[in-house]
Amino acid sequence: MRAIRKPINYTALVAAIAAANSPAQLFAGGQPGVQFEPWDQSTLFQDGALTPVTAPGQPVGLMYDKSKGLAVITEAAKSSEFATAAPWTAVQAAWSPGQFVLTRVTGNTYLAQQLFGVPQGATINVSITVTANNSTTVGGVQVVQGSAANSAAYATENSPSVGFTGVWSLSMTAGQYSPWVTLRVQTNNRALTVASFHVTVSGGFVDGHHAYQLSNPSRAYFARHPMGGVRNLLTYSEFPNGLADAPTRGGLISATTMDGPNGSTGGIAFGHDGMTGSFAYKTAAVLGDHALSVYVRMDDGAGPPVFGNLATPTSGLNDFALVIAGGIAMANTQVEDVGGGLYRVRSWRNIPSGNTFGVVKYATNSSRTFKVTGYQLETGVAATAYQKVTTIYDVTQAGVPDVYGLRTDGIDDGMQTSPIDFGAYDEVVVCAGVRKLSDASIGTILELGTNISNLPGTFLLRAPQNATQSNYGFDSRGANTNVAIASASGFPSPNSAVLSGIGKTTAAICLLRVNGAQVASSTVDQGGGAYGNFPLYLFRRAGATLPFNGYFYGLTVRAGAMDAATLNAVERNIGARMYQPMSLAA
Amino acid sequence: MSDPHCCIIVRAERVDPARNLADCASPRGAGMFTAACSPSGQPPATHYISSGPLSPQFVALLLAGDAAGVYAAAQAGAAARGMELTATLDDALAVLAGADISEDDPYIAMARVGVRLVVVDEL
Repeated sequence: MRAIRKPINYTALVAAIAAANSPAQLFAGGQPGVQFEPWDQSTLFQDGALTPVTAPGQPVGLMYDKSKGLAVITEAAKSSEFATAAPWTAVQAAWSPGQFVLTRVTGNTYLAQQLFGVPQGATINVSITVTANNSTTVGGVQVVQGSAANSAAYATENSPSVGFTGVWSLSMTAGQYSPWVTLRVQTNNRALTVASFHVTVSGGFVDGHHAYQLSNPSRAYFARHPMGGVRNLLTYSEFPNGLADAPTRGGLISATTMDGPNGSTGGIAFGHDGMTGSFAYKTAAVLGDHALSVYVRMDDGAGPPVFGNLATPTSGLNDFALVIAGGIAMANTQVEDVGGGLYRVRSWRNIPSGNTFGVVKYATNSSRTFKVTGYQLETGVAATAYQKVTTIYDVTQAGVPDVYGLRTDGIDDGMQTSPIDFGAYDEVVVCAGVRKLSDASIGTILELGTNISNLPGTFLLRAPQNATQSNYGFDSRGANTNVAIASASGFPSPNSAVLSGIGKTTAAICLLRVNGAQVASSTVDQGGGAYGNFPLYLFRRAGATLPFNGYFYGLTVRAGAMDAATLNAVERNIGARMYQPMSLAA
Repeated sequence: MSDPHCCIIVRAERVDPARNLADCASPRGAGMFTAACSPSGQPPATHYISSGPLSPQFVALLLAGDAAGVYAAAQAGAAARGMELTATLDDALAVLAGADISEDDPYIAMARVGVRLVVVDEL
């Protein structure tokens, strides 16, 4: 008897995965971590002033962490009247219930509050209760906003200057996006007691450890590409900027509009006078077998373009030619009728040198004029389905789903969060969706702290783990100097994958999963202990080296043990946004 | 309208004034020129590269090779934000004279200059 299977209810399945992956459930126990979902444009901003990201090709200076549900809170200081010493960063300051006593000995004396990110231009309202403990001292206190604890890089306000005692309220404007506000003792005020330090921000704080990048050129771009990746190596394939999109050009050409493969689009019109050669070329640095294709509409409407003598591109039996730099004709030209008077001309050859490609109409070619658009250059000898490329950050293909994420350049792009305190946990699970575009150099997807070699209680995820290797890797370190490394090869770039790492310092666990299946592990003794309280760096080590070259589609980091079903739901949630085939094994 | 893309490769011996000029010119210019390059891809670095969006005004100054304009922007930024501009106009002239500045993809720009990212294989 044949078993009767119920049809899969995809709506219910997606809902179940989403529920299992929702911050309300995933972080229900208050576990520290982050959840970045760059496909959700509402969580992306171009800069620290919260300029929205509205289209592919825009830089991303701030990415909200969704692990706290994007809750807006009004009082970021979790212990504003010092019931606990945490989460304050205090230097030359002693805590007791209800107060901090700051005693200046040498250098800086301060009390710093790490917030959840204050947008540039926001009003920071501060109220402080201070008692000067030594009546012979003079000087007051100072509130500063900057890039780290005790940094005054962005905004500064000074209290009255003589032995200040009392409640001091002030407003200051955030000079840049930053998570840090610090109270510090001015030079001559050597001892004081702080009984409260309230900080609020206009509009409130969005709770979470958001990732940010203040330096313009180091911002990744919001990008979309078709499922399966980008094959067209050219940009501005439909000439949206007219002739400027054919950097090498000449002769009887003009910008035009035409009915192309995606409806009305830009193009280049080729004329003919029997004396002037005309050409419109694009640039790409490639070698080896490559296919070039263009869409053509002949002005006379009298059938397809004709190539009667491919051996002699200048022949009058040809309407035009596809060439690479130096007038070297592409070989194996074929014409495909795509309907409605539009034709796709395909050609390929082994590219020995040169880096300009396109259409040329020699003065000696036939007199037929035409319009072209939809240039595509791709690796291999086959001209595959056309991909419209506006910029490298915005590529689409008719009938193929779009995939959204961040595009990092592998040069200097990176982000970081404010410090995340994993101090109560010896176990962590990370899950990231990425597309690795190069194996030439180590690529940092994430690293807790500045360098796992120097810092106990840290972990990292890399693509690739090693230079010139086609591998992925997850590393974990506890109190020992030993670093457990779980890496697996066999994923040459370009490669898309959902990567998961599981680390547990007290049980010598370090696992790497790729697309839902475990591929590597290490049982190196990590020395136990908890993970630390450090910023999480994305795409570069410490914001300085080992840049990741590729696409980033999402990331969940959560402290504590995670059951197999939940991990699988987290992996599938990210994989679904990438249309990534996943292992069915939990 | 998003900020335009700009790729700048400066010579290693000019990287300190280049960083100072960028830092002073705009808060968004902090942290530039941290990616090291060399012809072999091995240390020591002979160049440093920065690639990404920059303000349209600054890109125009850079593409025009306007060292005086770049220096004036750094002076104004330093004064407005209380920063120390240690670079001189001569430094600005030298930085731009030895730099490769374009709107190109960074890998095309590096190929033109004849350098690669310095690859370090570290734990």
